[in-house]
Amino acid sequence: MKKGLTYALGVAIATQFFILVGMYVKAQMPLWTGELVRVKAIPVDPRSLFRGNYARLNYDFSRVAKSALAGDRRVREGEVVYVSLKKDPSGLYAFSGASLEKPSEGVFLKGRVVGRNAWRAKHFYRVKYGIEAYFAPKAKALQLERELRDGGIAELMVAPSGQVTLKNVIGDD
Amino acid sequence: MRLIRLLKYDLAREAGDWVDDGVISEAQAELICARYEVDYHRARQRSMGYNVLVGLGYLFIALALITLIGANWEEIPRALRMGGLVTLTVATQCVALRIYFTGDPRRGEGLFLLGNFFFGASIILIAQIYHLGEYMPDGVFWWALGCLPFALIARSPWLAIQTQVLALLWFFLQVSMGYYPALFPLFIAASLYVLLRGRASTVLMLLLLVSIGFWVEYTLSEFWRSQQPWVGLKLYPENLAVAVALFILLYVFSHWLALRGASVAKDYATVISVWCLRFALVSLLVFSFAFPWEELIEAQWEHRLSMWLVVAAMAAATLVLALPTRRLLSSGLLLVFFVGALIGVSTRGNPDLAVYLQVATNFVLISCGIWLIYRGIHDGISHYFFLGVMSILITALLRYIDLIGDYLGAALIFILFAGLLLGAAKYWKHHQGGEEMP
Repeated sequence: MKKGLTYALGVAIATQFFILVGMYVKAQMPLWTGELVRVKAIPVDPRSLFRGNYARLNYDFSRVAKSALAGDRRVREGEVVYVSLKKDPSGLYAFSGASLEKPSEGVFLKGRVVGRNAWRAKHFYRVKYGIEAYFAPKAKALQLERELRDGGIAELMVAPSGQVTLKNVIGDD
Repeated sequence: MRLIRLLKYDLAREAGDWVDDGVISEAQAELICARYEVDYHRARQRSMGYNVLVGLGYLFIALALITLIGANWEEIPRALRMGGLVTLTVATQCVALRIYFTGDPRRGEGLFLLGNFFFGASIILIAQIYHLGEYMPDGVFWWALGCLPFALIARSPWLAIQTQVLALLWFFLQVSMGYYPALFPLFIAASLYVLLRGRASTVLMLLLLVSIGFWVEYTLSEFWRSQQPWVGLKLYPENLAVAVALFILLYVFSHWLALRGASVAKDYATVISVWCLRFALVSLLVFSFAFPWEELIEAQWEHRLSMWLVVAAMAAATLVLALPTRRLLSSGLLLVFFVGALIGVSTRGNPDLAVYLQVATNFVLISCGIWLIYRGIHDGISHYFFLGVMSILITALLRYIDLIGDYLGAALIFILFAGLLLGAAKYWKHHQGGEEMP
């Protein structure tokens, strides 16, 4: 009995370890397998109570026009949305289309429609991709805030599945 | 239902002092404690305060660590930060495992609790390093899921409380973002298992009931909103009706539980009953105004059929539980009043009905106050007595401010209150006189 319990608790410890490893691998995956995509970013506001200082980032594609999803079935809060990006002449990627179905090709990000009563918004859905916070030590966060006042460039790593990780934020030179 | 059950450990310690002072013998103290199914000797050594302080201490260690992570040590390489925290988590759990089996199991449980906090800190660190958004319901979910096996295997209420609190946090994060937390019943089932198979814990029991309540309500809300096009997250007036039916069921369940043989069931029954009573009084105070009734009458009751089905199922369960507790009549009357009010407000009737319902609620409130005072005096339960007095005083104060039907109407209500109270006092005197008869 005691031996069985020891094994069971050992498995519980291993489970926690593997959850952490899994989260690490999932977070790393776009960095390992993804494609580097540069997009325009607008910092908004720093600081998280637990996780420290950060710059909150908005993107042009954080708001998706309702007309872009007009042909699909009705959109609800929490709905997964795929936003396709296309390289413009400046070398930056920008919004090119949105769909509730996973695109078969091209660079696309997997996001979620957020905000209460998303359906009530007149023209846009608000979409989050998990790349809206850039964490940095206080001094760097404040420096970023100053440097990126007029916008900056976010370096994203986009995996083939649409999962995206924020790699870096740099000034818009 | 004796409220003294809630203070039985204090009673055991008090009895210990009486033994020390020579007021009673140790055998008598054991008999007093046995009356409430408490082990006199163990109760004197019970170190609840110590456990709470250690638990809070661990919580603050975790908060210090999480805040330290917040400083964002960019000069320390990612791999080192991650490796350090994962090693700390696994090492703490391994030390806890060793102490759990070779030394003091309770201390081992405490260290598992600390290890679980470190596990959460590691998840937060991953989120920080990889800039994973501002909301992190997935992170909280994995945190709760990682704590779950420890609670189940050790059957520890402390670990189960930690898991359930995290699961509730995840539930609310998910709900606020418009997702349905489909795996929440898993955590409910785990807490129920620990409650049935582990040590008694009223905190876990209350947490479990709260979790079940929220889950039932949100599941219904999700079902109703999926039937409507273009509706976001919302609570429906039907949710309120289900909540009242749930509380009536819970109240009767507490009486059914009190009939069980086990002492722990009686303790749980007392706690549930007290909390149901408090909820009922607060709800009646809210509905002693006209505007909540007006809101309900004017609300869109668009899911009447499914609401009535759920309410009927709960009412049936209430009556089934009421049978063995011999509370069929009182439970039946309670349900009749509830169903009557529900029909009144949900059939889009006359808005003037609100005033009548308000007046009726005030009388119900005063009647509850009188009943509590009566029970307080009759059964010697001071808590009931003071709760009854408070209900009547607060009702009178609210009516003085609110003035139903202007000054004359309010004066009439006060006269009726006075009549009810004086009648109750006369009955009490009569009752006391009857008791003094040889």
